[in-house]
Amino acid sequence: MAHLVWKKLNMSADSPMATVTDLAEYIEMGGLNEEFAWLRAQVADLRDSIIEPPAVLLPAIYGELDRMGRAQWLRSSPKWMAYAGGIAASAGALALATRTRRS
Amino acid sequence: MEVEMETLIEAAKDGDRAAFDEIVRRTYRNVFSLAVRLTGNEDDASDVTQEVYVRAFKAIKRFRGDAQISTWLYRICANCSSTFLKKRSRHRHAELDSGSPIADPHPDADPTLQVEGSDIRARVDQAIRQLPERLRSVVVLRDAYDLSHQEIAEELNITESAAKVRLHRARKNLQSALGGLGDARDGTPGVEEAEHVS
Repeated sequence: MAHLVWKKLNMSADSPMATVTDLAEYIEMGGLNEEFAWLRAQVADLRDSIIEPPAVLLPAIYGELDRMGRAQWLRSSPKWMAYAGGIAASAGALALATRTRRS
Repeated sequence: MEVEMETLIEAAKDGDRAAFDEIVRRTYRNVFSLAVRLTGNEDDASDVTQEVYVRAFKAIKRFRGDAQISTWLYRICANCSSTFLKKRSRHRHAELDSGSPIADPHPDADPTLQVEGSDIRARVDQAIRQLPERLRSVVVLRDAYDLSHQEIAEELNITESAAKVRLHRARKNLQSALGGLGDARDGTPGVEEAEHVS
């Protein structure tokens, strides 16, 4: 590719600049940018073109943050609170199972 | 009156969840739009957008305010999308190896799909969607979202040189895909050329 670009620029590929890095920098600094001026302007316009997200996305993000917040709280809580939470959850599950069996 | 974004950011840094929720509300449409352009479809973009805000919430204390928060979120989005696409690529390879039928779940990527309508922006958008993922991400981040080569390289985990070379290839591909819609010489679209684009 480098040779093709240098050929286009009517320069020698033996130039001391002719490394891929230098060439890429040259391109970015304006060497070939004007060739893409119209294209770049069109692509830049896309930023203002909002793709409307699905209605469920915002609640889903908040839900994800809620879950993460709870997990962080558990991690940062003293050990006895985590154990107490675990015991309470187990007791609740046991009570539910017992009631289900009775009914 | 709407609270300033800077105030919200400071509050979110202090652990104010409501402030962070407001930041999400103000920015998620833009982040989602970028995610669609990077991943190529809305389902994947929804997953990526959720991940962006999870990461942002974890890292908000480290946000220094050197750049706008939107740019910071775009960088996270670029990184999340890159990770997501790599995982998806591996998953697809595994599926193919296991003998699953080959089916493209993204009909938008079909190169034979004809672009409808005459709107230039829609054509550019469509052409970008049809670029290979590695080229698409670079041109979108650079030309649409104005990230620097260094930022792109960091988030996509590639070298700056690779980012520049990919950008050049992406632009060439786009120009070719648009079939000379814009006049390369004077930087304005040629009407006659535009009419000949199918």
